[in-house]
Amino acid sequence: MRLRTGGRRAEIPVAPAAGLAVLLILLVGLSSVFSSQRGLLVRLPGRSEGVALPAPADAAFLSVLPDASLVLDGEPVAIDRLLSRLEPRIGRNAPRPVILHVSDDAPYGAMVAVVDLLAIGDRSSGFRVRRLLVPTHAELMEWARALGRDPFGQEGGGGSGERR
Amino acid sequence: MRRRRGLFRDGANPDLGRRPPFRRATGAGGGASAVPLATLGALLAPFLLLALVTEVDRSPLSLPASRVRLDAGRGAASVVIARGAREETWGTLVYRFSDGKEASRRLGGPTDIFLAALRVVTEDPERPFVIKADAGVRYGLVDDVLEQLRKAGVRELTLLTRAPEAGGTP
Repeated sequence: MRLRTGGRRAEIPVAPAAGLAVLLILLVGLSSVFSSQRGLLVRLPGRSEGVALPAPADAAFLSVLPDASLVLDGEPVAIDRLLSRLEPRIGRNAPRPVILHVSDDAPYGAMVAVVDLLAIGDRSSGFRVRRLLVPTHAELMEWARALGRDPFGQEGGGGSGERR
Repeated sequence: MRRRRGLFRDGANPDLGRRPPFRRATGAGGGASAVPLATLGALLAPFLLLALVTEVDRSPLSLPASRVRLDAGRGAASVVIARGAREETWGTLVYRFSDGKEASRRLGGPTDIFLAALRVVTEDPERPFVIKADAGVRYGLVDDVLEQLRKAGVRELTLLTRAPEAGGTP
């Protein structure tokens, strides 16, 4: 017995399924992009660890003052010249760490802008800060107590006197 | 020839007994077909609902901008530092906390954040944390929270930022 099919080939319509799949892929991609939280990664020292900051002679000290201006090793510096001033101080091949102190009254956005700049670096020369330490004020005070002096004290008005 | 065969099978009316020809909905006539739109809406609705459910904090604030933006990971516990949005609370500071599973709730200050973070770290020491702070708040407030989180045993956290506007500085 021959089954007559009317001369038409049986087929499964795949075009709607493919359209649906594309739509789902787009939606999943979009939702993952928009729902993800992104920002600057910060590692904190453990609660049992002491303050592990380097010796003052081995680091560069950068401060953000309340008006968002910057002081590098006691000298004022404009943000657009920060990287060029930092490069000879910390070196490129064996980079010294940069310790960042942000004044209590400085806007949080200014701190993020400085950290972002140091992390991105200078794309034309390839220089960027590889070791950036942002100790909390409590850690800085503990460090200063251990040192017996304020490591940021050399900069005018930027020392621990303006901290809480 | 074809005409005669049709007459033999269908009688006088050649279209009698035949299936009506399949017609694709092409939107002819100027109107958009509602079926694909309804399907799209039905697909979008669950995704939007899921996105709203999975977002544990929706405090409106102005995040600082940065070009370096790393993924904080899913299910991160979050600390929010924002300024009061309503007129009567304008200028006052608002702390909120979420363990990453439930919606954020308001807390009194850094000490409450320490206790809440300690509970999360005790339950899951590897839980990522994020700080979602308004770009305009004093850094001292963020520093207080950082110190409390450090004391609670948080080892890694992400300072949430937004992407800089195209062509502008962060």
